[in-house]
This record gives sequence, C-alpha cells and structure tokens, in this order.
Amino acid sequence: MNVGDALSRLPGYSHAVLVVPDQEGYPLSVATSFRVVDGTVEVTPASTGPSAVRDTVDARLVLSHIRPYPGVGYDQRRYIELSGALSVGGPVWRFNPEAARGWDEQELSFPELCQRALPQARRYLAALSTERGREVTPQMGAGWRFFLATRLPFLTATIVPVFLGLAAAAYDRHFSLGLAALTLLGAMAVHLGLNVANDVFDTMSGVDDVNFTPTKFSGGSRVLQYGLVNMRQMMALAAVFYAVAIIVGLVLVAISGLGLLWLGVAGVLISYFYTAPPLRLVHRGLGELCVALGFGPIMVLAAYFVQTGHYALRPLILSIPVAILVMLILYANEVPDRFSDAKAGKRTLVVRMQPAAVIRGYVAAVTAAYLVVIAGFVFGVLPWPTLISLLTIPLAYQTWQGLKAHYDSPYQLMSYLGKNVNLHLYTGLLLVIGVLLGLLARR
Amino acid sequence: MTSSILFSRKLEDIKRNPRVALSLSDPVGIPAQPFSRATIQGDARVIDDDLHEGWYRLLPLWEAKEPIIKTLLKPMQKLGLPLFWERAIIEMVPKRVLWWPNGDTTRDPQVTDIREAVA
Repeated sequence: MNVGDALSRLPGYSHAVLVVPDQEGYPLSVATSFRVVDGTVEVTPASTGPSAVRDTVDARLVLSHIRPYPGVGYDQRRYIELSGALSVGGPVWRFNPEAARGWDEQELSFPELCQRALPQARRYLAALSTERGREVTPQMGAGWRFFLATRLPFLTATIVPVFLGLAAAAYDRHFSLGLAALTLLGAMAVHLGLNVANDVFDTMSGVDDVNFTPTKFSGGSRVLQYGLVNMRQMMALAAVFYAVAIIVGLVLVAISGLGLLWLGVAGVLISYFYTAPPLRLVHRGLGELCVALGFGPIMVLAAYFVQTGHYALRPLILSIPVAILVMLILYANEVPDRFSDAKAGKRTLVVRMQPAAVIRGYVAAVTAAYLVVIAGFVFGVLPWPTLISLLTIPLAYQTWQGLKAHYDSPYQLMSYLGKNVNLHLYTGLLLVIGVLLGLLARR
Repeated sequence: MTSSILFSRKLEDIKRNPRVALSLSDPVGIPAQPFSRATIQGDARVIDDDLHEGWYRLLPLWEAKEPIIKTLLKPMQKLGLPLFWERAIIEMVPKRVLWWPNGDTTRDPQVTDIREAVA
C-alpha cells in the first residue's frame, strides 16, 4: 500500500491512534480525531498526562475498524498504519506520512492473507529451530498428515470408475470379489501416487508456493508448504504407492491376460507424467484429457477386463460420462488456481481461455455427459435404469450458476467446487446402480 | 495474555523490543457503556515453547470474544489451515495505565503506575 492510497482511505475510519515513543522507550498511544490536508494529516491535539507527546520522526498513526458479530466474532476487519514525522507545535498537530501498510479483509480475505504470510511463519519456525538446536515443526497426528498429504477424499474419483467397470462386468455375468478388491487396491494406489507426486512436482516447479488462494479442492495438499511433511517423505510415499500399484497391476495381468498390460502401463505413465518432467502433461494443457482418460476409460475398462478377460462397448460408453465429469472436477478446480498456475507456466485450459469461454465449456461438457447416457440407452447399449443418472442435472445446474457468480471469489466458489465433486460421485454411483438394476430387470 | 499466529510480525517485533502498549480506543469494537479509552504500557514476552497446545489455556478467553472458534477447532476444519493452530502466547506485564473517562482524549488521562499501585 502506498501513502497516497492509504490517505485516500482514511475518511473510512472514525478515529486514529497516534503512537509515539515516550521517554522510557515505551510506545505512548492515544486516540484522536484527524483530517487529511494536502498529503499530510492534521491531528487534534490529545493529552497523555505527564508524559507529553513531543515532536518525533518516529511516529505512527494507526487507523483500525472492526465490527462485533454477535455469536460469531468479528467482521469488517481493516487497518492502516502510517509511519512518519509528527510536529506538535500549533493549534493542530501535523503528521507527515512516509510509509504505509494495511489490510482490508473485504479486499484480501483472511485465509489469503495467511497464505501470503506463510514465509513469515516459516522464518519464525526456522529461527525457533536455531534457537532450540532442534527442528521445530507444526504438529499433526500421523493419520491426519497421511489424510492431508494423500488427499484421501478424492479417492471417490477412483472408486466410481472401478465400481462402474465391475458393474458392467456383473451385467455380463462375470464377477469375482477377490479380483474386484485387488483392482480397487491397484487403482487407489495409482491415484494416491498421483496425488502425492503432484504435490512434489508442483512444489519443485514453484506452482504451489505462489498459490495464495488454495481451497480444499485446489492448490494441492500444501503439506510441504506448511512443513507438516518434508520433501523426502513425500517422495518416498509416492514411490511406495507406485510400487504397490505396479505389483498389483502385474498380478492382475498374470491372472487376466496381457490385454490388461497396456492399460496399466498407460495409467501409471499418465499418472506419473501428469506433473513430472520432462512431459509435465498438465503444464501443456493436457491435464483435463489425462484425467478424463485415466479416471474414465482406463479405469472402467481395466476393471471390466480383470473380471471378463476381454473389452466391450458397454463399459466404454459407461466410462465416457464419468470421464467428462471427473475432467470437470479438475477443470473447475483450476479456476481459483489460474493466477498461480499462469505465474508458474502451468498453461491449463482455464489459464488459456477467457472466463466466459471456460463457463461455456463447462456447460457443453456436462451436457455431453448426459447426452452420452441418453444415446447409450436409445441405441440399446445401456440398460434403461441408467437414466436415473439424469437425476443429478439440478446439481450440475447449481454448479454452473456458482461458477458464473463466483468466478473471481475463490472462497465463495469453494462450496460449488464441492457440488462439482459430488456431481461426479452421484452421477457415477447412479450409473452403477442403474447397471445393477438393469441386471436385475433382465433376470 | 493473548495468542498469536506465527504469520504475524508482532512476535519477532516483541522479541526485538519487548516494550509495548495496548490501546483500547474503538467505541465500535468495544461496545461497553459507559465508554472509556485506555492505553496500557508494559513489557511483553513471547511464550513459544509449545506452539501446538500451549495456547489452549487461553481458549476460553478467545471463545468469549469469537464463539466461531469452537466450530473451527474441529479436526476436519483445522486441516484447512493447519499453521493457524500453531500459536505463540504473548504475555504482557502492565507498567502504567492511562485512562480517559468517557473516551475524551483532549482532557488529561488518569495515570496509574501499576507497580506503585501494587506496592
């Protein structure tokens, strides 16, 4: 904040607090009234008793506002702090501001203020570590750290396509519970490996460090930024997940046939090179396509193949709506991340397009997802009960409206990003239920 | 006593120069009747030996001021910004109080030297 900007904001404050050092070196502060005149501030003389205010070049004028919010706390928090010289001769005191700083939560939300001040917190912890001779880090239980680092709740993106592939196989009268469990384990391992590797590479490239508006749906887990886990631990965690995924994948290939190998290899490679150099697929605007392929056809067809030993049209058609909707999770989550992504050279679709085009793209993609279900039914590929997945159309509408209304407000957008995640989950689960109901109806 | 997030520069400022003043000046922020203004000068220290739980002893004071804190302390909520919950305590030993009855600072304040008053 510069002095001119600060002075233009002063009329928004009811009073000022003048702070000067007293003779013992303590700050002597007193509330007073003021008015801005030609780039200086005229301050009404105030009495501080025996320790009188004197001329000083080390004065501060602090203006603050806060409104009690009964039952909650406070809102409308804002302040301006001017530093400069004070002259107390004459009927009014004259304050010449030389520097200014401030904050207004209506312009910069408190969470974003904290994110911007993360380096300050890190410096404090580093200084404390030096002082104590041991590393001082934020504390959090191992379970919660794992939950946060792996972004466990996003596993729904894996559970839905795997269940869909299994349901399609069951519809074709193939189902083994053991193979289903192994498939789910392998798919979850790839997904968790992807989540952790994504944080590692986004931190290495600086993307997550310059993201000041992370939400619980975007901006990564931030465990590295918060110092909850170190880089070595995250790399080890990603390696463990990929190792588990590869071992489970090889076992499933041995059981089901070589036809699965290509899907498995494609899945692991897409997952790893999503943010990893040299490909960095997401930096090239291919993130949406990778996510759609990985969490759509690859997972649905792989789950189906493990059970049946062959590929088929029905699971492929079933995979398209969930592929589109999972792609839209990423797509919408990129909206609050777009400035930090652009700064770090991560040229996502949302970075490349104008807001109106991004929103139009969202509507077109959602419409396409539902049209595929309808077409699948019309052409006799999908059983009629899969049409219950259309029940989520109102949720899609709400998400679209939220995206339009809060495109530039990351924290207000957050609940709509949540609805968008639910849109994928509920539509996918309704498709699973629809396929299983179709199986029952066929009997 | 109060607790502070580590994002704030005041912790380092206090460690550099512990001489501080607390100003009670805003009639909107302090909806007390009759309204008065006060400045409390004193020596502050930062207590940061247990950033994770040390400040919990001040939680009742914080909750009285901001009841929403109780909700934000739920484990899932805390995950949103874990560093917010790593906090240092700032303890201030008052030295002198300047008190302006009715908030009128154009008149002389009543000045109380705490150490003299305690003695």
